[in-house]
Parts: sequence; C-alpha cells; structure tokens
Amino acid sequence: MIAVIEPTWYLLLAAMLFGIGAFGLMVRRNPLIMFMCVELMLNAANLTFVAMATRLNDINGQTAVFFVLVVAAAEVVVGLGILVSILRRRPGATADDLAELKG
Amino acid sequence: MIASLLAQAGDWTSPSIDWAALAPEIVLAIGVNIILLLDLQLAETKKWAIATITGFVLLGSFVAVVVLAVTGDGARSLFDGRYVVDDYALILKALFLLAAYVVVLLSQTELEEGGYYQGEFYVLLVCSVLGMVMMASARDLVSIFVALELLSIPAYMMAAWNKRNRKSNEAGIKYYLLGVFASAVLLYGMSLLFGATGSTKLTDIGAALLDGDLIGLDVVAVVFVVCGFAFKISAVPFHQWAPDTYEGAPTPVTAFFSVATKAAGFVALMSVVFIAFPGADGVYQPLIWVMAALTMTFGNVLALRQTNIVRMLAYSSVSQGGFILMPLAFAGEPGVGPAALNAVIVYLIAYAFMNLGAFAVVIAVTRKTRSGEISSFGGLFSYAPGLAVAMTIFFASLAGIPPLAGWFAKFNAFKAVLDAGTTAAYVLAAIAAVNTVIAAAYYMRVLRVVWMDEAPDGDTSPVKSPAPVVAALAITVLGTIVLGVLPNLIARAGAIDALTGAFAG
Amino acid sequence: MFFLLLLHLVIGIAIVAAGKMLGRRAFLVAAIAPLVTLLWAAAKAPGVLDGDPVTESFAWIPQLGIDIDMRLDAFALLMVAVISGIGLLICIYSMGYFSHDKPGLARLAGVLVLFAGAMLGVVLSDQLIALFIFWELTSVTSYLLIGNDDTNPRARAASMQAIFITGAGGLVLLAGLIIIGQAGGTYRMSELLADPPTGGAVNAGIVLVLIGAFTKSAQAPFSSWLPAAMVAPTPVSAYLHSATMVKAGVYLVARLAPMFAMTGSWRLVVMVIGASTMSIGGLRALRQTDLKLLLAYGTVSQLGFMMLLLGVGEYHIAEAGLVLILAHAAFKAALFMVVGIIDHETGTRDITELHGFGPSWRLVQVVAVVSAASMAGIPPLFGFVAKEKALDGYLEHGDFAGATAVLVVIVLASILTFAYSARFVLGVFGAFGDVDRPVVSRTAHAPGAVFVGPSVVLAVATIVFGIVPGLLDDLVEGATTALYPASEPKALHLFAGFNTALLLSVVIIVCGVLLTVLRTRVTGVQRRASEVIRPIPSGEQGYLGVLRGISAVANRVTATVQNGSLPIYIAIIILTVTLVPAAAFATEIGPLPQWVEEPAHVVLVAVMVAAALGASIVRHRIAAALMLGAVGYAMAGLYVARGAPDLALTQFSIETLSTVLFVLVLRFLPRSWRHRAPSIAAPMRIAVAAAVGVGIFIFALSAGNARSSVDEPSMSEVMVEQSLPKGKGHNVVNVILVDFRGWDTMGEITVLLVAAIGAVSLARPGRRRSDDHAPVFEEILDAGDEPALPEPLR
Repeated sequence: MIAVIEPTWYLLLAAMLFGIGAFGLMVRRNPLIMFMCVELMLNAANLTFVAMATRLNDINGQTAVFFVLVVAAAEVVVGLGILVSILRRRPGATADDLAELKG
Repeated sequence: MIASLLAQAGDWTSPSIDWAALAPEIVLAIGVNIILLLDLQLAETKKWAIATITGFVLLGSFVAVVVLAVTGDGARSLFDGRYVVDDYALILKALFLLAAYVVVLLSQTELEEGGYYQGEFYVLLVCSVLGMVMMASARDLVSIFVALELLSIPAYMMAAWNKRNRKSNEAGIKYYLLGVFASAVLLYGMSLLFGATGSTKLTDIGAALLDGDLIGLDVVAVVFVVCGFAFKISAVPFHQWAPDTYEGAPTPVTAFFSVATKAAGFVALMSVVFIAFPGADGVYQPLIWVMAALTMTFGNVLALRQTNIVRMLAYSSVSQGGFILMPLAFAGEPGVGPAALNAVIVYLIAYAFMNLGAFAVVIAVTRKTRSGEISSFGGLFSYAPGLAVAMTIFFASLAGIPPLAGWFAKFNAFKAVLDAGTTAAYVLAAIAAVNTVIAAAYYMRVLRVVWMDEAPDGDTSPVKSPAPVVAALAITVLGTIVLGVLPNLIARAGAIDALTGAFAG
Repeated sequence: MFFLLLLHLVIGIAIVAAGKMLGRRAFLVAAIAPLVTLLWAAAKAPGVLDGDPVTESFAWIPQLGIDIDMRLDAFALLMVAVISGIGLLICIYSMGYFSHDKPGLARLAGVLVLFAGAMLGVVLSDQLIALFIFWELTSVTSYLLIGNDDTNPRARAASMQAIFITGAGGLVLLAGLIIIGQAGGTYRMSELLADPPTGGAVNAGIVLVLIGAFTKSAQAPFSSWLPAAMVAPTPVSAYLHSATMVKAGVYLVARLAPMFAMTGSWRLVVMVIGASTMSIGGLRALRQTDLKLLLAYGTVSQLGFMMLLLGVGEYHIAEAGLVLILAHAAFKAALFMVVGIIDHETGTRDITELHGFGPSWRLVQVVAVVSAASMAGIPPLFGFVAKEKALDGYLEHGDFAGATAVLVVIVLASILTFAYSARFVLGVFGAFGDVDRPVVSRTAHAPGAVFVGPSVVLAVATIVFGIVPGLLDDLVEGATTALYPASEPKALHLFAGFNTALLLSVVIIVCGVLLTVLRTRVTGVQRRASEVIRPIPSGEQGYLGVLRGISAVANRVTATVQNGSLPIYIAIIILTVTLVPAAAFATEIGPLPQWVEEPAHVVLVAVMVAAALGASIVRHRIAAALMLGAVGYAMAGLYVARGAPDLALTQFSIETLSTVLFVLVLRFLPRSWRHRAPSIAAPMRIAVAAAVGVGIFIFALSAGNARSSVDEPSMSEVMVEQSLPKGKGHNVVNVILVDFRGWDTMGEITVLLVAAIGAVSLARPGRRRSDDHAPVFEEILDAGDEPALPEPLR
C-alpha cells in the first residue's frame, strides 16, 4: 500500500501557488494573464486534493481532480470566447479599462 | 487484504439508479439536445419556436418535480447518499424551473428584437437551470462543484450575450474573471475540507467536524467554502460584480441572475451549512453575521444614489440577499435551525416572484421608453396604469409592505432571528430593521415617480406589451399577491425539516 | 368588520381607477365609506356599550399561529366614531376646499378612503401582527397623501420624512410586538390583558413598542415630521394630523398601558417623553406665525398630554384621556378647517398678513373662537371638561412616583396652550397684521355653506358636549371598562364642585391671560432663549443629520468600493479571504514539518514555484502562457510521484491543450497594451501581497495539526475492490467516473458541451439581421464595429 507521507510541505506548496495566483491576479492587467493566474489557483486546489488523497488513502480526492481538470479546460474555452468577443470591440483593453460600469 | 475488505463491505451494494428521482434532470438534458437539433434545422424565420419549446421543456421538468413531490414517500437517496431528492430539493427545483420559465417568457421578445443568437441562448439557459436543479440535490463537494460550474459557465456567456454592446462585454468579462476566481477560492476550500475531514460527502464531513475540536485547517476550509458561495449570492464584500454585471447584461439575463443564480448559491450554502457545518457553527455564524449585516447595509446605501433603475435593482437585490442570509447566521443555535431553513426558503420563493416581476415591468416599460433612467418612468400611471399597478405591487412587496409576499418573507426572517434570542441576534435584527426603512426610501421614490410625475417627454402613447411579457407579469403578480395574502401556502411548503441529514442531532 | 375594511378598499380603489371621470365628486363617493361605518357602529353600539364586544376572526397563517382577529369593544367604538365621524365631515369639507377640478384630486380622495380603512383596521385589530400591518398601511397611505402635490419639492421632502420616521418606528414596533407576543404566548391583546407577560425580554419589548408609538404620535424627539407634513392639503392635515393617524400611537399606548404600566420602565418613559413633548410643543407653537404650523405644534403638545393621561396605567387618569381624544378631535379638526378656509380664500395663512375679516366671515370667526377656547380649556366647552377631568385625575389618583411633577408640567403646559390658543384667535382677528404686508383678508370672499358647514358641526359638538357632558357617559365609561376591566369610572361633569382642579383651571386661565397680554415681552424673551437653545440639536436637525450622513456615506462608499475597477474588486476579495481565517488560527502555529522524502520533488517544486512566479510577473505574454504550462507539467510530475498516473496523464493533456489555446489566441491579439495609471498604487499592491504571504505562512505552519487519517476503510477503498465485480471495469478511475460518480460526469459533459457551443457563438463576429434595430438598454454604440481580429479567427 502507499505509505503515509507527511503532506504539510505539499500543503505549503499549494498555498504558495494559490498565493502567487492571487498576487498575479491583482497586479496583472491583461485579462488573459489574469485568467492564467486563476489557473494557478485551481492547480493549487488540485495539488491539495491529491496530497490529501494520498495521505488519507482515499481515491475520492483524485477523482475530484479529474472533475476539476475538465471544468478548468471548459473555463479556458469560455474565457477565451468572451475575451475574443470583448477585444474585438476594444482592442488592447486592460483590466483597468474595464471600468465603464461603476457607481 | 481484499477478502477482509470485502467482508467489511458486505452490506455495500453498487449504486442502483432511481431513474424516476432523476426525471426532472433527464427531461432537461434531453431538452437541451432537442433545442440544439431544432436550432440547426429550423429556418431563421421560425426560430421563435425555440423559445416556446424551451418553455415546454422547463414545464415538463416542472411537472416531473410536482409528480415527485406528490407521489414522493420521503427522501430518495442516490449515488450512495451523494445525490438526494427530498422535499427541500424538490421545492427549490420547482423554484428554479419556474424562475427560468418566467425568464424565457421575458427573453423571447428581447432576443428577437435584439437579434441575438436564439438557439444557443436557450441551450445555455437550460444548461444553467440543469446545474441549479442538480445543485438542489447535490450532497457531495464534487457534485456541488460540478453543479456550480454547470450553472455558472453558461451564465458567464449569457452576461456577455449582447456582443455588440461594450457594456455587455464588460459585464461578461467581469463576471467571468471574478467568477472563476471565486470558484478557485471555493475549490481550494473544498480541497482543504476534504483534507481535514477525509471525505467529500457532506454527511461524513458533518460527522467529522462534530467529532472533537476544530483545528486551524477546518477554520480555513470553512471560511473559504463560505466565501466561495458568498460570491454567487453577491454578499458583501464579494458583491462588486453584481451591479456592473446586472447593468451590462441583457435585462432578462439580469433577472435570471438576480433570482435563479442567487437562489442556487443559497441552496449550496444551505446544504453545506446545515449538513456539513453543524460542528463549525462557531466559524460560519460570525462570518455570515458580518456578511449579512454588511450586505444589507451596503446594498441599501448604494442603491440610494442610483439613477438607473436596473442598477438600483441590482443593489436592491444585493441588499435583499443580506436579508435572506440573515437567518443563516443563527442556523447553529439550538432550536433555530428549522426556523432558519424555513425562513430562507420562504424568502427565496417570495423574492423570486417579486424581483422577476420588477424586472418584467422594467422590460415592458423600457421597450417603449428605451431608457433605464428612473426619471423616464414618470407618468407611467397615466399611460400604462396596469404596468404602474404591477410595479407598485412588486416594489411595495420588495419594500416589505404588508400584505404582499415580501412582507411575510421579512417577517419570517425576523422571527427566526429573534427566536435565537442572543444579543447578536437582536443587534442583527436592529440592523435589518434600519435597513428596511432605508430600502423603503428608494423603492418609494420610484413609485412616486411612477404615480406622481409627468411623462418626461410628454409621450403618453400606451405601452403595447407582447403576450409572453404579459404572461410573465401575470404569473409574478399572482404569486406576489397570493403569497402575501395567503402566506400559509408557502409557510406550509417551507415548513420542511426534510433536508435529509440536517438537524440529526 | 371585514366587510367594512373591504368596503373601504373597494371604494378607494374604485375612486383611484375612475380617476378624472369623477373630479370633485370623488369626495361624495368617498363619503359613502365613513357613512356606512358610522351607521354600522351605531347599530352595534348598544350591545358593545353593555360590555359585549363584537368579534370576528379569520385564520390567516395557522402555522405561525397568526390569525386576524377583529374586536369592537367600547374603546374601539370611540375611535371608530372619531375616525368615521371626522372622516365624513372631511369628505364634505373637501368638496368646498377643492373648488376646482385638478389632476390628482380623485387619487387624493381614493387614498383618503384607503387610509380611513387602514386606520379602522388599526383600532379594530385585536391581534398585534394584524395591528402592525394596518399601522404600516396608514404610514404608506399618509405618505401618498402628504406627497400628493407632486410639483412641490417641499411636499416630497416632507412625505419622505414622514415615511422615514414613522416607517422606522413601525419596524421597531414590530420587533417589540413580536417579543411581547412570544413572551406572552399569544398575539391577542384581549388575552394578553388577562395575563400580561413579564421578564427581561418583555422589558426590552415594551421600550421598542413605546418607541414605535412615539414616532407615530410625533412625540419628542421624533416630532419633526408632523410640522413638516403640514405641506399636505389642509383636509389631509385636519384628518390625519390632528384627528386620526397621529392618535394611533396614543391608541396603542392606551391599549397596552393596563398590561405593562407597572412593568420595567414603561411608566417612567411615558411620563418623561409625554411631559417633554407637551411642553416643547407648546413653546414652539407660541413662536409660529403660520397658523397651520401653530396648530401642528399645538397638536404635538396635545399628543404629549394624551400620552401622560392614557399611558400611565391609572384608569381615573385614562378616563380623562379618552375625553381628551374626543374633545381634541372636535376642536382641532375644526381649527384646521378654519385655517383651510382662510388659506383658500385669502391665499395666505401667515398671521402677519391677516388684517381681520369682513362681516360675512362672522360664522367662521365664531367657529374659530369656540374651538380655540375649547383648546384653551375655557368653560363651558368640551375641552374644559377634559382638562378638568385630567387635573382631577392627577390630583386625586396620582399616587405614584413622579405624578406631582407631571401635574406641574401639565399646568405649565396648559398655560402655554391657553397662550397659543389666544395667539391663534388674535391672529385670525388681525392683531398681528403687519402694516407693510398687503391687505387681502378684508376683501376676501365669504366661504360657501358646504365649506363652512363641517366646522360648524364640530363647533356645535364642542359646545353641546361641554354643557351636557353626560351625553358621553356611556361611551367613555364603557371605553374605560374595556381598557381596565376592574375599573369603576366616574360620570362626566361640567362643574364638579369647588375643588383643587377648578382652582388650577382658574390659575391656568389667569396666567394664560397674563401671558397673552404681555405677549410682546414674552416673544422677546423667547427669541433670546431660542438663541441660547439653538446649539442643542433638535429632532429636525437630527433627522437631517442622519440623512446627510447616509448620503455622504453612500457617496464615499460608492466612490471607493464600487469604482468599476476589476483589480480593486479582486484586492478586496483576496484580503477578506486571507485575513479572516489568518486571524482565526494564528494561535495554532505548529512545529515545522519534516523535510520531503524524495529529492526529485525538490526539483519539481522549485520548477513549479519559479514558473508560477514567472507567469504572474513576466511581461511577455507568450512567455507567461508557456510558464503556466510549465507549472502544469511540473504538477503532472508531482502527481506521478504521489501515485496518481492517470491524473498525471489527464493533467498533461489538458495543460498542453490550454497552452496551445492561450498561445493561439495571444498570437492574434494586439501586441501592445494601452498603458494607464494602474488603479491600485504600488504600495497598496505590495501591502496586499504581503498580507497574503503572511496569511499563507501562518496557515502552512498550523496545517500540520490536521486530523490524522480515518481508521476504517474508506468508501473509496470499497469502490476500488468493487469496481470489477459491480462496475465491470478493470480501470478503477474509469469505473468511478462512469458508475459511482456517473451523475457528476453527466454534469461535467454538459459543462463541456455548453462551453463549446457558447464560446463559438461568442467568438464569432455578430450576425446582423436586415430588420435589426437597437435592443433595449443598448445605447447607440460608438463606431467600434471594425473587427480587431485578423481574418483567421473570424
């Protein structure tokens, strides 16, 4: 069977990925790159699932990751769809430009 | 090893699928395919039929829900208790389907006149509803996540559906970026929750959290999960997308967001809170308390200064969310749980009718005035008395004026909170009371314009509302009045302690 | 009783719906409702006065034990008589007041009827929740009545203020009623009276109820809305702001006082608030030059008086309060009507612009004098009977703490009442007329019979009930017994013998005359006093301050929080999510964990962190996309190391797909991004980033304390074992996806489907129809229609 391994470092790694993603989301202004940062955060969640699944010896964690991966792919497709549609109308728009709706 | 495992698992059987319990979902899934095929086959001039067919798909699913509710003998548990069809799920499924039906009625003329994409739009709508219907039954983190994505991903695209409009674009991208971000937060919370409790099934998580003291990991997990859902219900400080998206998105879509998507977020939050988090009430209760107080206050204060009616309704919907959230802040107090659940469900039902109705009136009026400014509603009573009366009913109901649906919902929520009887409960009730007054101010202001002002450009030609919009208005007016005058109808429907797995202790 | 409410509802809606067709005749139709009510009440009166209340009940929300119970006892009968009696007169008076048809008149009449119905509901409800509902309906209808003049911004502000204060009070009231109802186990007042609840919660509840009642009855410090509401048409003021709505609070206090006067701080609160309201109202009335405002402040003062009489829970005193309700309704409504007549015929109601009237106005002047004298408490008028009874009540039965102080206040405030009543009369006769102002009153037309008639009826009533108060004995005694079942009310007398109360009345009248004679000097003193008092915030200023505050907060919050900028939205969310839990478990920092067990991991981790940092920082977009891919591949490597090869494979393929997609799209997007000042300043970004970092570090150190593995074999292991026999598959993951989690997979496939369909529709350039016109809410767009994308992507 799989040995029980200390998962803390994986958790820390995942937390760091999550943090980097969050940081990037905040500092980057290209909507596309912002979206990539969200991908980083999703990866952090996946890593936690897998690390915990191994430690708990529970395959459910791994199956969860399958679902997340596919959903993430769907999100990429949708995100690109919306982006293409918006950039068609406002070439070179950055996140800061997207402030027509406010108040 | 294998033998011993098999011996231990002797009473475990492979999941047999109760197809009847899944009938509403299956009707929707088949419906999606039918709509897709028809969209390919139908000539451009006949595309209007798609809306009608979408309506029938939703009604078919609704009938299935009703049949299940009438013939149902208790809860049906599927997939090893990860998918449960109980009274709680059925009521909310019915709510989602009805709300979606009204949205289809409202979308019909909007889409035809706007020249948007017909077939695809309805596919997205039905898929999103499918996600909501699944959400009502999902009792497992993974199922909840999948259902949430299934309802959100079409929603992102629906927000941006009016492609040629910059505002709609912006609405879409904002909703999308913040939405996937919130999904990531939620998912991270779920992964930690799984790590902390060793299961993705809500009942197991509940048992694990009740067992022993909470540790740091549990706290983070609970906070992240609650925050993830808070985005969907646009609770402050996760609400910023709502006004921007509501204003930018096509109006029927906004109606859909403000009612159905929000209700779906609440459903997920309730399932989690009542089934998985009874052991963590020390964590989520203060969090929800603060969010509820902030949500109703910010929503109201910001609504006060709006001049655009859709944006005002957006903030009003944020603030109403705070009221719906309020009883959940005491869900873990002894004896309050069922009352809190009841209060939230009753509020969601009442809110669905009155808010959809408000948007229906806005859609009907703006077809003529082509403006979303509140001042453009002046003189409505003189040239469209029917619409003015309907609008009065909806806004008065939103303000909580008896005897309309919104009043009973608010009363129920207050009652549940006061049942808790703690100082925190009294303080929150006081905050809510103050907010009800502030809210009355801006709802009344609109009604004043409708009844007292002159039409801004002197144009008092009557408003011609298409039949589907009239039908939507009829449904919502009827619901708002009937639920207010005879609240025992929803009080009975909401008096369920049949959220399987909750209130066990 | 339900039929009466229904009648008001139907007539009200019918009048509003008929609209312009009716014109002034709307008030004739409206008069049907109070007339029917009066006849009905007269028919029921004998039985009710014999102590046999009429009740009706309707099960409304049985689940919550909320029924609508209606109960007509003698007190309710008294209120019904006031509401419908004055209502009938007001309808007739309005025919004269609104001499010309103008838009909105029918609406006014209809809403007036609706208001009367709501008011009847308040006094007929035996059930607290139903009472609250009608209470709120009176607020709403009064909002519409005050703000009926849509062209006048002051009317709008005033109606807003009224609904703001009374609406807020209503909610406070609801909270209090619920607390009392829960504590008493019933929401029926008749049952609560038999067995009043006690306890700490009830003490809080009654304070809330009192606050609600005080807002409605314009008690200090909530009185500012009543003078402001004087912008309403005079019939509305006469009806709502003197005779009926403002008495709702007094009514409720009167109803509950027998139950709760001894509980908690009820009596103290009532005495303090009532006494201050009575004196402040009187003082301010004395300063007014607008006749209507003078009456409004006078009403505030009298309402305080009623609180002092009906709220202290002593039946001898309460009996006087009941007489005062009747007397006040008669004289104050008549005075308002007189002001309305003057305003209507001369165009002014400012006493500096009135210079007396011609002989044809004699009747109006008589009404004014009689009613004002009744208000001042001069015999032999109805007001004198009430005041005498009140003084006698406090003298003979005021044996509770503070009663003497209240008596002193009543005497002093009654002197003020005399003074402002005299001011009113002198004003009408032109004593304050300013020679520089135009003289219009002397030549003013005499009002018609319909216009004057109702006020004459009231003046006659004032005289008749003053001389023969015994006519009302049955009603007043019955009402007293209805409130205090154990009471033995005394009969009413105009002259009860030479007693202390009479002496006090003489003192009041003498001092009042003195005050009136010395009025110029008094005015000077008052002006100087008001200079001193001005810095002390009044209720009005408090109200305005609250509004300004809310408005300022709204602007401030909107500008900072809702500025439309995505980065700021994200920063707020991130901070919340990180800091909330970090605070929670900073106490749980555990020891640093053991180092990783496999060196290969170190490499992977290093690659991952570096690539992740790179992806979020690097300028070049394609490089960012590739780095994101690198993170994904390193992740796949970790999955292999953690024993999940299928997962690694899936991750690998999906990562490849996304990277290709990103790069493809990036290739077609413009290379240079517009540069603008970022919406978050650099220090702010760094601060948020630092907060996130600290949060994560604390989290990681505490995460080591996670629960250890579950002991029993988890369901997943069972799944592993059962996959071949039950799921007929060798690959566990496949079996789980299609069997054990088949439903989730179904959902996921739908996600993919919908993503594909939607994204294609969105990414395609928009198709236009020939009959295309602008959709709702779409503004005329700028000419940004040229595609920014090169051919291949279109």
